[in-house]
Amino acid sequence: MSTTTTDGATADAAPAVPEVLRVTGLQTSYQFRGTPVPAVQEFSLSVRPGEIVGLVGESGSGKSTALKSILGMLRPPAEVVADEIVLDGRDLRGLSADEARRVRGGEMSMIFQDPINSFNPAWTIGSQFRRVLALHRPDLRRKEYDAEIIRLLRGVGIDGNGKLDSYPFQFSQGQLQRIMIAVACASKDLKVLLADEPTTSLDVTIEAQVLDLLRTLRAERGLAMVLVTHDLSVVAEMCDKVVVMYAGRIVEVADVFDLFERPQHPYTAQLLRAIPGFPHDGERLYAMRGAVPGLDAQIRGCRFADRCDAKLGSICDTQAPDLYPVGDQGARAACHRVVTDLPTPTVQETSR
Amino acid sequence: MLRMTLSRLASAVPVLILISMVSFALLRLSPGDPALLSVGMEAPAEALAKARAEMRLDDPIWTQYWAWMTDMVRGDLGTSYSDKAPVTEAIADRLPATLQLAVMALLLIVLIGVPLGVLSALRANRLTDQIIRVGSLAGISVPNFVVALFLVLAFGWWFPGIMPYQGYVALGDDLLLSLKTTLLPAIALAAPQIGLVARLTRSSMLEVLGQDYVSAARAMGVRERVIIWKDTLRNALLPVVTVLGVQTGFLLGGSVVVETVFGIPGLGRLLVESFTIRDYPVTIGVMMFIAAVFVFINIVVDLLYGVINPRIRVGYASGKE
Amino acid sequence: MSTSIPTPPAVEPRDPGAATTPAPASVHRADEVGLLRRLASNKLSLISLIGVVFFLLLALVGPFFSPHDPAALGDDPMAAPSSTYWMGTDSVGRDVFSRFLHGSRVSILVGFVAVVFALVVGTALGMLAGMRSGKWRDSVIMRLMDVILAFPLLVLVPVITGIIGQRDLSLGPIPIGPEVLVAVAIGIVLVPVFARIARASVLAEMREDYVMAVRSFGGRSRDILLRNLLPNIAAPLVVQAAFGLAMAITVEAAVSFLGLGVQPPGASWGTLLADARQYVTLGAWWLVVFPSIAIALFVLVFNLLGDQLRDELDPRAKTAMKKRSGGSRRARRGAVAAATPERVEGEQR
Repeated sequence: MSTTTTDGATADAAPAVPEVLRVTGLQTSYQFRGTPVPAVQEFSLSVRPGEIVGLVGESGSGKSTALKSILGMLRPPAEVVADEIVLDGRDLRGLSADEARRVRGGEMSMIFQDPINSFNPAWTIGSQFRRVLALHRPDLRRKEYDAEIIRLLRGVGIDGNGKLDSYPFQFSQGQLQRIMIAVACASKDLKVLLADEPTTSLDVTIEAQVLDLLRTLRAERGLAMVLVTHDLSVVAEMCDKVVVMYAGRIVEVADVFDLFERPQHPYTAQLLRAIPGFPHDGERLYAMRGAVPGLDAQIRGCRFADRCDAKLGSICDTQAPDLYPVGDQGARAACHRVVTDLPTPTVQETSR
Repeated sequence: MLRMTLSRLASAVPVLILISMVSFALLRLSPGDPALLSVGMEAPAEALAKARAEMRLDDPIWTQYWAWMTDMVRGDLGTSYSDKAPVTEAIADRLPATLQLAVMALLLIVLIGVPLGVLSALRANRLTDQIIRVGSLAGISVPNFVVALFLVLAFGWWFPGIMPYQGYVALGDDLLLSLKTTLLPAIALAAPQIGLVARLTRSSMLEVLGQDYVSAARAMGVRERVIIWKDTLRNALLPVVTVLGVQTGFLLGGSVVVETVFGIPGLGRLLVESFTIRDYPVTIGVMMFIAAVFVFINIVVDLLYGVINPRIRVGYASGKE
Repeated sequence: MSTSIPTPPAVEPRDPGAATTPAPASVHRADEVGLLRRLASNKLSLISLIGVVFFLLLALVGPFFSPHDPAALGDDPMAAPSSTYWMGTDSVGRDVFSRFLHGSRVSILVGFVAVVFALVVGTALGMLAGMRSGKWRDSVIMRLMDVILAFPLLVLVPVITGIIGQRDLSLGPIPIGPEVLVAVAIGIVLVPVFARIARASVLAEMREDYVMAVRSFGGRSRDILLRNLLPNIAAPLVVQAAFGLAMAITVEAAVSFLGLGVQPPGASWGTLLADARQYVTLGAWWLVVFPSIAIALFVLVFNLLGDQLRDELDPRAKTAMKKRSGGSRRARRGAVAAATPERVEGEQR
């Protein structure tokens, strides 16, 4: 068994608070040349109000797909099945298309990686904003829209006066991402914000502003967030809980502190090792060999076995590990090492 | 906008000058002595010499070009060899029919091609889509004069008496009949282009549907209908507009065969008739006219593109993508 | 995953270099040899290849199979298709099938000559313009191309034919026939199409690092053009040649149909249709149908071929496809492609 012990470091981890979003048994498959290819399998997630959950993994591990599936944005031929997708006590799977549409942007919304492409280049910022208000703010009258937009923009640090008739290309990337956040949070009923790599395409200095803004929103409105990223430093800075995905499956779920201190899955450990140290310690940077397997690859054993530095032996090639519980704080890891009594060598090797 | 219009117009000047130079060269290089063609074979030698002098044929070529060019700017495109009438008159005479034909064809292209392409994209890879795609490929492959011949075969032999398939009635004489006489020619002219536009609209729609802002609109709960009509179509039609503009130019040229098949007295017919009797001033005058129209249509399309695309209209010219 | 299909390579080892760089100079990827085979493995390509072979055979050996003398006036004019006259007879009793076989050779020959001419001249002009982009040479060449495109081409062709046909031309001892004149005129009209593509390709390639590299070694522009650029811009030109053939055939047919191209008694698909024109309303469908089908099929086959070639050859079209993983284009290279997440997602939309 591993080293996880009682751990009260995360103060707000009181299990009494009910989750605002709970997803279990999510499976999404795409059609690729006529055959369904699973992009996400056995995915589950639970987020409490005010909690930021990081969703981590290399590109192509299924993070974005999972988010889009939860929000109900995928349409046939993509196929989404789940045991439950419960938002604030209501299972979204049973909703009609129209009801599901009203949830999007109303109770749960999403921001995207590239703010420039997130706005329609042919319409002004104001018209795109007004359209969302018309959908999700029945409390406002039409002539109150502009004042509200200006107020919301001020909330994200943008002076919107006289800029509502400007087109997206007249703003900078950082500004657009903040406007996007304002649009996404325009609804008063908003409970969950899904953020798909919201800072990946931004400059480092602007990244800090946007992350700051997200933290403020969490603090002020008690929003729950799912933050997809492949940047572990963003995770460390922002998240309470972390879900690590690899090749369409969850490989580890852990409290953010535990994840960095005591990674349970060799993949997590290797990911952590691949972060360049600052200041540079003079050692050669660790690079993970190989690449994420294709979604259509037929793999019998552990999907990570090929690239694993801490492989146990033949069991890794023949038997897929379950997502075993680690400790009693809800942490989990999909590695055979968790259930064997072997120490996890990667932990010592990789923690720096 | 005004500055843009002026600068586009200015950029057309060298092309127009080049068009006039090429036209003049074609005129002078074409076989036969213009003076002889003008006065006729049996004319006495003095008449021929007089004609040569009148036409300045013994002057240096640049002087000839300059004279010809200044005439042209004043609206004198030359005189027909055959009936001694000004070329401009002939053009003015024949233009309405061709214009009517081109406008009708363009309407058919837009009203049929674009919706088919949109439908095809929205039903991508399903049966509807496959039918439309095969249909448009077939449409592209059949040249307009072949379509024209089959229409004549159909309405002239198989189902006679339903539609007029020969001749033309002017709009002012009988509106309904006039439209009827140009319907079949317009269909023939439009058929291949409909396929082209449908294909283009489809691929353009699919590309836009894959953009992040469509996902973002969905994520904000915008209705699918609104996403398609407001977000997607406008952006998807940008490349279509460009191609439509170019096609309008080709419609003028393409009407040459269709007008011949359906016996429509338009510019295209004039071109063929004049060339057949080697009346070069008319042929080349009309060609030059069509080329100039083509250039102007392209300018209009450019400007139209600016109207649709805010980035151009607002005139934002920085390196930012 | 429960499905246990015994597939040997569990994880497809992806060469990181090949996977990430779209390889601008991918014509060199040594798969030219396999091009025919790859084309043949795709259903649509196979159809178009069969079509190409059919038309080539039709042009080369077709006339030898003509059952009658194509010019011989028969005593049974306007006969519908029968066992004696497979495609019927025309107004003066000539066998349409024999005329069709001879006409096919002329049409296809004219098409090929026109495209070869346009390809050679257009590429040369386009490269010359592209090498000095923005300079006066570029402007003059490209504006001239614009002008040619602006004229109505169906009349430009006979005007050019008239001009170049004023003297009896010959290529050494071989006299140049009127069909070749028509072909060259069509070729001239098609030159701008190739010139534009060649210029655009050159401009794109000039920005590539390998040209920079050659330049930094002090390479001369002529060498850069011929040795380095030509192989790399060949792909889009070859693709355009396929489309160009379809265009050339259409233009020839239209011009000859108007009586301004191939002259009687010579036959081509266009002149066959021209002969048919007066008799259409008399119900002589056989005069119209067969040449029409031939033209439509030829155009279809070469359009298909162009589409397939573009998918296989054109590095730029492919790069564009990869860049927008937003997937407007279908990735058609079935055998090699692994279902990477981007690709799979791309195909959904």
